[in-house]
Amino acid sequence: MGPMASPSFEVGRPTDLDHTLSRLLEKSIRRSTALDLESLCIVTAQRVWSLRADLHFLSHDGNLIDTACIATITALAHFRLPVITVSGEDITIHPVTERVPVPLSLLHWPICVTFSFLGEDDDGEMVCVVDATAQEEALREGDMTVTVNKNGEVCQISKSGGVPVEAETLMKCARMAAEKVKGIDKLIAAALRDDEVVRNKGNLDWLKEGKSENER
Amino acid sequence: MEGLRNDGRRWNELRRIHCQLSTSSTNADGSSYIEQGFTKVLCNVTGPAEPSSRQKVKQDSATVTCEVYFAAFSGTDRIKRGRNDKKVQELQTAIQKTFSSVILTHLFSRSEITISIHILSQDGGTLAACINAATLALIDAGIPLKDYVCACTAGQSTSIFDNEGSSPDPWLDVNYLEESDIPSLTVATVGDSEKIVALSMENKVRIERLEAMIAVGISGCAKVRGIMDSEVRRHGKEKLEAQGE
Repeated sequence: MGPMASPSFEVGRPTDLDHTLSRLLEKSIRRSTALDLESLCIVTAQRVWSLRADLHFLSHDGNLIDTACIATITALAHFRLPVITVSGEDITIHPVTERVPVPLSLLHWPICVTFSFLGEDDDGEMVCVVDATAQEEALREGDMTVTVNKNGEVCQISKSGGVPVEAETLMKCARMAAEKVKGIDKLIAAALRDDEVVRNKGNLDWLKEGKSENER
Repeated sequence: MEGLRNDGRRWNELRRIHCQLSTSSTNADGSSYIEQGFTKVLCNVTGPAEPSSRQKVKQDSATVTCEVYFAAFSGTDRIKRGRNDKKVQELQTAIQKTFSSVILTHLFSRSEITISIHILSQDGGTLAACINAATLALIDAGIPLKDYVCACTAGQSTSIFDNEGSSPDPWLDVNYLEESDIPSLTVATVGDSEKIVALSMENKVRIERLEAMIAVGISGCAKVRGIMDSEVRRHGKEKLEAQGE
């Protein structure tokens, strides 16, 4: 997070938001076993792939967490790993031109939805907003992040501090998150599909050969 | 034995809670010690005092800082957790944010309230024990709070794979073994309002099951509040009697 995204970010000094963000993403994606880590193993107990996701925020207008999560999931789903063959002690990494690289085995797509609580209205009902802008975030009295996948499994919830909220409101938010995630999931899938079409234009035989069912 | 958990409790039973106030009288304004089962936590509160750095000065309210120390011997494996450990930092921010919204910080502008927590033994529900200990220590320090903040954990024993078929089966106050095995959440409420100030869950659970877990967690918080309140009253009475003599 640099000053490019927002003047409030300083260079080289991690803020609380930094910690929250990296912890939330780690909890959402790693702890929910979205990525099958065993598939990244090359030689048992000796060699493994190491994956690293770098996030750069270009502009901050609120809801960094959700955006970061969607970006990470899309990147992981889009990523292709070079094929390797192991024979005895030797490990060969085949270049992309030789063998078609394979996608990572993502078991499900956990997606974060953040709710901002803006305080109670005249009837004593909590006003909650999804996908808040920077201005709304500056005004909010509390927030909660729910991570759900499209199958309706909640992978992570975190609400630390902020205004106290009725359990019923929180449940309503969680259910709403589950609905929202279905839409976001479709958007990601559509974007990936479009990309695949563009990449493989006029070269579909090549694509077929790359199917994982084929004998290698 | 049917219907009993591995430590012999029923689904809605808390573990033994033992709490104490004013445990270290010299170097802190308020202190407490809490045991929830085998989870043992010591908490010291200093403040309101002059902020340790100029960054922490807020003109209109007090700054709440939280420091969490894991004893290397607190878990089953001997792990030394430094200050920059992610788990430590997460606990710190969770506790700090929770209490910033409950302490009446506007009364102490340009000052700092430090909550330092030492985790001596972990047996599930660490965050909950930390929050409870911090509440007691803040009360002991005489820092005005909106109300008690009580935290409790709840688990869910049915697996995530079966859907509507089986009924939800929530467990109250999970221990380490249960925590590592089944999905669980920590819920913290303010006073007896049943309003949730902090909620954290790290495992996968079906959305239909969530409601039962939160409900059980809230009922646990109410019980914890009763226990903590009676200890605060007992301690207060003891102190008054000692002064009277």
